[in-house]
Amino acid sequence: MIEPLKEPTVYIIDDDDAVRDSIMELVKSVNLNAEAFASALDFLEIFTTDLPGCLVLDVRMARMSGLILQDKLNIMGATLPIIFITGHGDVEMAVSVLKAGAVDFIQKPYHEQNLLDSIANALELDARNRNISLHEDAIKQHYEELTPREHEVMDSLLQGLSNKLIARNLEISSRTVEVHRQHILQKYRVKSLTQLIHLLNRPEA
Amino acid sequence: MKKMTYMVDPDIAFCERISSLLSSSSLATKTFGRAKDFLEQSDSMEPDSLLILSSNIPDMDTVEVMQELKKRGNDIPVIVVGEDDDVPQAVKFMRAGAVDFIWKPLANQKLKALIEKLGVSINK
Repeated sequence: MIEPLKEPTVYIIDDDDAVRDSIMELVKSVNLNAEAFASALDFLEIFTTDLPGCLVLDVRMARMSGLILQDKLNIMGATLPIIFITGHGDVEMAVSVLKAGAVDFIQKPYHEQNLLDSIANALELDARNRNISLHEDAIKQHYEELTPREHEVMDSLLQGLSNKLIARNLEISSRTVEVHRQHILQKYRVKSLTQLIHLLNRPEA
Repeated sequence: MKKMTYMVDPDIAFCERISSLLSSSSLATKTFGRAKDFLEQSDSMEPDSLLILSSNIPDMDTVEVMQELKKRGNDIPVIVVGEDDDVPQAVKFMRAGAVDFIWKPLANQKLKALIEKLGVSINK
């Protein structure tokens, strides 16, 4: 399995130094990686879609608000879960950011444990999403390694056809089908057809 | 097939108001005062319907009702109606999978706009 390049990190974005420092301290107290940014723009400078972790984001900030950052990240196809923190939130704002995909909306003053629980949930969600997408990438890569003939044989195998029937349909010998079958299993790094079916059906594997 | 709006809310006056608002747009409503009565018939609901669910049902927790529907493979969109504009409540219901959270007192205009946005036909 391909490992993510970076350690999961809690990215804290708040223009209030005191709030930023206290969240940073809280997150580090439970041995999580954390990085703090005083503005959304500073964060965008280092952001790439492959960063694992989650975002703890202040709503109201000078220059670029958390809400605009959320929009920008969504447009960029980012999947990093966002926890909003705000001192001025109302229900409409909460509903709107959650509809746009945020995982939580926490009002200040926040309970430390609530915030930590929310961060733990967000990190878990992110890890799960990334595993699924890594797994899909790996499967796609294996599929591309197959020759056109192997694709045909694999499709037939997945339909449950026997070597004999596949041989007849493709007008090749059963022995050749068996060779293709072995190559397919090798390319997917599995030992049996059962394992291959399992691999293709289990995104969480 | 006619689309249906289901309501679960013990507040009879509120249910009646919403029903008459929706029927003026020729949209049918079925209302329930208790969640269990609603759930009992939920397997035979009309497709493409909508659920307006109170945050304050006497016989069940609102989030539990949503979980129960999910467990039964029922993915009806749920709008939760709160008693007031409480942020933690709104967050709780949205995280539980509500498509929207609105609160009483509810302006007719807001509810109409909402239902239109969800693609349930009004005035057709």
